[in-house]
Amino acid sequence: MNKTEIDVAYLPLVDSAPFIVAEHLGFFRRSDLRVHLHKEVSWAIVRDKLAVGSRDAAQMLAPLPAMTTLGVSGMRVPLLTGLGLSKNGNGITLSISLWHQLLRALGLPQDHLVSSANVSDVVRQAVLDARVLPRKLTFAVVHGFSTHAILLRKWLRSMGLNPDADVSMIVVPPSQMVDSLQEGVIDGYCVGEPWNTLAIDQKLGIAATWGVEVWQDAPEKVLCVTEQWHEANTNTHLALRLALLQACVWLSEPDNISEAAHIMSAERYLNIDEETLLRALSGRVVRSPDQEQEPVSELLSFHGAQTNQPGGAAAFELLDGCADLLGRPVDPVQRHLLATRCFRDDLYQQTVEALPGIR
Amino acid sequence: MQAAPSPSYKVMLVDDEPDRAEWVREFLSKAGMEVSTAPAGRTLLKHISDVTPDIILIDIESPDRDMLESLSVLSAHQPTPIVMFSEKRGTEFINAAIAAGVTAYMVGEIEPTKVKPIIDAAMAQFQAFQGVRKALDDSQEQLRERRNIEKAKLLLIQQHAMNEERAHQFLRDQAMQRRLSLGAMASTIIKKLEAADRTGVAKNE
Repeated sequence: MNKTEIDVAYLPLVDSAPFIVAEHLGFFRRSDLRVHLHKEVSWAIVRDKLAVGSRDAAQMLAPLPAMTTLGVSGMRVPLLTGLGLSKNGNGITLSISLWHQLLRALGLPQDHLVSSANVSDVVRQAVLDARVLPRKLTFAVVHGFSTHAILLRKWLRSMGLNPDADVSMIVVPPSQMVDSLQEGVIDGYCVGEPWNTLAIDQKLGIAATWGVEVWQDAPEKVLCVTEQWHEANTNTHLALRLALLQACVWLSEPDNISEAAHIMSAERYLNIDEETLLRALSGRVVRSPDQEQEPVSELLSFHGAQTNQPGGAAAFELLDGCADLLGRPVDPVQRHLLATRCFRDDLYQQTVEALPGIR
Repeated sequence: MQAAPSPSYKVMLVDDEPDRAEWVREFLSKAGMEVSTAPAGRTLLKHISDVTPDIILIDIESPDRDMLESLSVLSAHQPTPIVMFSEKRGTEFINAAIAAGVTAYMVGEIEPTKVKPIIDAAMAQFQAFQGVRKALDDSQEQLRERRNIEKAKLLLIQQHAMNEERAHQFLRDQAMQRRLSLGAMASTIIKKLEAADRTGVAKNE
């Protein structure tokens, strides 16, 4: 028996847009689904509620279905995804007071242009030369098994640094990032929007880099269900994927972006002002409080084969990033099994075939 | 030298409800455990590194859970908590944890069998606290209902010249007709009669 009334969990973030839009514009209803959206406070509780069946489906960090199936993150439950919901969308913020301190130490002007290349250059020197900064930098991410953690490691490696030895990494909930930066508990963080933009607007941070500049086609959020639930509700799962894919397509139309920002800003959803949301959704961001807005291509993407297809090369790259986090390689056979079991391209194909006119 | 006492685990309770934290702490302390409490939020990491607890008990709905679960992944210089939920325990345990509103993490190198009684005891206390609170809420609700019933009867007696028995009968009949509880019917009647009284006063003026 397939359910027609389902409970779906999400975290209030900019890339929750597909869920919010699907509810608000009636995509769920048109798929003959009655969906109750539930705002949750942590990925851990989302996973627990999925596992015990108090939620039918959920938004999830892309690495978590595989890592939870593997049992290395919190608990072992077989989870899967048949639809990617977003790609990229993260940024790395650096404390603005640290930035100015480092510029002084290096004899650079205080209005040194904030660009990906310049920030990398300054941070590299600060980490490698104790005369520039006589202490370790501390960076925060929102979850141990997240694209944020992988991205931060890729960024540090791109500068020739060792993420395990050269800096400290901690986990801080997104809502506490900006305050932690202000209090000097952390020197920087990697997080999704709007938390980078909020720090920049409050003159507390600069954008060290945007995720897409370090890692193109980074899977970000996926639609996640338990293997067990999928088997019992294959039709409901398909209807849900259809509704959400339609929402993703709608969100990829530039003309719809300001309406999306308006819908999402409501108190019952994100409760954040429209203008801040609009910047992340439209890919027009600022890197420093003193600089103009500039477009960043594919800053956050909701639609396209690279975004919605969960498996393929991107899934393997993601698994390799997770192995890097764990500090040990994943056995090649296990890697393949995990990729095909948790990132279900067959379910994605089924969704696309049911939606004529979708790439 | 005397033999060291049998090892007891350092338990840290992370809870923003001081009453509940105190209730559980007292119980676990009496059972011979070393228990400290810490508020959720930004200072939690510092508390953990100061106290180096063996077991952390935290509200299952706390935003800090992602941080706790990630400690083991992220770095070597943090304590490495391992989540209580093991494969064998399955979802029943988590169901219970969700029902009790608490979840547990423990540091590696601890045998799950030794910790289970601690966790069970703590969860039973959490549940008992919910029970106590509910009983308190229930009795206050009953008290309020009883007061409302008396007040409704009094208004009926004053405004409609009923005797007490008649007022009681009226209240009960109305409640039955509308399928309301006596308390709910009483507050409806109070609202109506008080409104009528106010208009009455206005007319008289």
